[in-house]
Amino acid sequence: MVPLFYNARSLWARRVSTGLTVVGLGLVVFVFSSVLMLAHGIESALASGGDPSNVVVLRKGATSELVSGIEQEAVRILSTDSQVASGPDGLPLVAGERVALLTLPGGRARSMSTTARGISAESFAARPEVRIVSGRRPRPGTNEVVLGRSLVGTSPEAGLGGALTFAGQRWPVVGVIAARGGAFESEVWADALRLGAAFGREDFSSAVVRLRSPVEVDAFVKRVEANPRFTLEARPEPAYWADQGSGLATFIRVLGLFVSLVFSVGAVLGAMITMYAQVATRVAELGMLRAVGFRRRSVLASVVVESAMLGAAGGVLGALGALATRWIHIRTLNFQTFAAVSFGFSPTPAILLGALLFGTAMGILGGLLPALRAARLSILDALRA
Amino acid sequence: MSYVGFVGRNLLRNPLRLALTLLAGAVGVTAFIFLSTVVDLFYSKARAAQVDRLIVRNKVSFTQPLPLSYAARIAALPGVTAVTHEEYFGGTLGDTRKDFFANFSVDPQTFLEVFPEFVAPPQQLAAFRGDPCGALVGETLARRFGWKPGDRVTLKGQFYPGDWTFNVRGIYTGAHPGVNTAALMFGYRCINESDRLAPSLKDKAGIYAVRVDDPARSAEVAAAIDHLFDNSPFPTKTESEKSFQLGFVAMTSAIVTAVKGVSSVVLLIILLVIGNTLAMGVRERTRDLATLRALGFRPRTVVALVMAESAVIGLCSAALGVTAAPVLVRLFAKLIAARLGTLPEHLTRGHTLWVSALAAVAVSLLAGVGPALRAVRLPVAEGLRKVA
Repeated sequence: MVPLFYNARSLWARRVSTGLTVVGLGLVVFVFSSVLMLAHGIESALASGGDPSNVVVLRKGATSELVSGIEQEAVRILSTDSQVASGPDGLPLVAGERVALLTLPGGRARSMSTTARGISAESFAARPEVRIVSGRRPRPGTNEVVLGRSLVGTSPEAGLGGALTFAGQRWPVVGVIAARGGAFESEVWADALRLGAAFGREDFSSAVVRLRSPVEVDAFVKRVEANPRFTLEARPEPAYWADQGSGLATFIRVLGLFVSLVFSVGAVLGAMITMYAQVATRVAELGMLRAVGFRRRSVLASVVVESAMLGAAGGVLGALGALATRWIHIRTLNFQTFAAVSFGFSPTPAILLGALLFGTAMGILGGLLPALRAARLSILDALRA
Repeated sequence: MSYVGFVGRNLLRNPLRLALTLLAGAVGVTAFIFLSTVVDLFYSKARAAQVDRLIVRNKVSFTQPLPLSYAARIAALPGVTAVTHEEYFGGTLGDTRKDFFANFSVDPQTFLEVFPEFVAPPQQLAAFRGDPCGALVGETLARRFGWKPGDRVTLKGQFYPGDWTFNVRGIYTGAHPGVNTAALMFGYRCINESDRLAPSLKDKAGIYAVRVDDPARSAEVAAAIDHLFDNSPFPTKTESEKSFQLGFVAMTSAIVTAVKGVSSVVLLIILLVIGNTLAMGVRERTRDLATLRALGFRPRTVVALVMAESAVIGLCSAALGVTAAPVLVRLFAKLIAARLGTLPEHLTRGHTLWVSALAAVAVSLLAGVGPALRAVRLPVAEGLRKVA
């Protein structure tokens, strides 16, 4: 084998060309990994808005709470199920909720469509992951609201002590909620009755049911669907939320991976150009290596390794760049629910490893043909060059 | 030898490298066109918006309905020539959103007065108007599912529970390429007059579209409409069709910005690849270029020769990319159709192709600047001595 430092030094000897190629490869890896991080960010933002013990009950066929409707009577029947958990006050943890979209003035004169959730007395108890980070809960029967953490500061009035104006009424903000980064952090929570009255809505949109344990979920789902007294369907809460983001995540993932794929062809060609040039200018050197006894396959491996180093360097650069996007926070419209979602780039070890492998693979691909040329050189011709 | 011949010879000095560079450049141009098309798609509705149209929506949110009775009151305002209403139906073919496409309930009598860009044969339009459950289907959508007039289409309602069956009465095309021909419209009476409908959902319109006689006065008319309903239980917000559509773009601006950002990265990558190639070429030819200067060629001629090389590379890459991109975009649209909905035909605009080609040439000229300067900066004597 040709020692590795030979390759490292020859890369260093052509700093400009090496640097340009590494930056090119790095940019591709950057796009590749940041896209995956973004798609993962959306999924985790929405999927974490769910507790494995909870079930969301919607009208049969409804894909989201916004288009669903269930009667108050159905909510009462649901709460008689034997596996429903009880709250601290001994009442079953079944919360009928009303969901509506509002347009809140957004930052920089942009308005954003936001989910308003009308909550019942049991809503907080049924969702232990939602906690008040400042202020207090809204008092039942008043117009008081709590804001999801990611809405705070989107307009001057969106904050503790401010007051939102929608549906012709004033809604004082008395608290801020956090939900482990989940979708509830982009919502406004108000009293279900007051919200229902403001939006002219008598039915509930959905009911959230907390069961005694996550293992009861499947059986409960079957019982709801088999119950002839209503046409409802139940879904585990995490599955419901994951589905709400699937369209947007797919859009970003498909678009991003398609672009990365197209890009990578360009970058592989770039690496190939560099490596061909390396081989061409080092013909004499390579001949010397052969003359002192290195085999063809060693020369081949040497060039491929050199190109792989180039790719790995690009991979590291791109992955580091992608990591730097962690501090960027994104708020955009989810086409599926028409409500805003707030999420960030969320890196995972798998994505970072994937980025490194992707970079290295591009390097190896780019180096393969030049390496074959290098290995095929005849000693005599090479030394004469 | 002429200058043209000289540049050509220089380019062909390393045909393999030239081929690789052109390919890489073409790939970059393709990616750039692809991304620009995606951005265009976000703006397509805003671009197709007409200046003489206003959109009236519920002030609270565009998903809150308005009473159907507003139509007559809006129509009576001075300056209003036509009013129609439509509502997003959001029905799906199957149980999932997999076969997603846009579908609306509209008022067949007035719809085409406000949206004349939807074009269909007169007898089909008459059939559409005559059937309460008649549907008008865009040609792209009709082709995707093989629908023709007389077919029955059953959609699962989202906002309106249950299965709703419509009769395809006509296939529409767009008067210009910006029209979405991947949607389905059906008469609102089919749902509104059904006894299955909950009373709370009856006699509701999603939005009103209003046509005004004089676009210059549209702001005035918009204010008059909002004023009319100011103190009603359903106050309205009226804006031009363009700003209504741009509102949606603004809500997805994070995605649009990201796509635009990636487009700049594409240009940067083309810049790096072409720059790298030219730099190599110039480095290898240091002695040739020094010889030229020793023969008395001016530095600016030498610079022009190198720049001509980069211009040729840029032009060829642009030509290749512009040829390949529309094919690729169509392929992509087909791939995602099942998952994210049918996209309109003629995705890539001529304008986009021009801009991309110009960007590619500009970037490759930029890439040539460094190597060209390098070629003339070196003292002639040193250049002649140099063994590359």
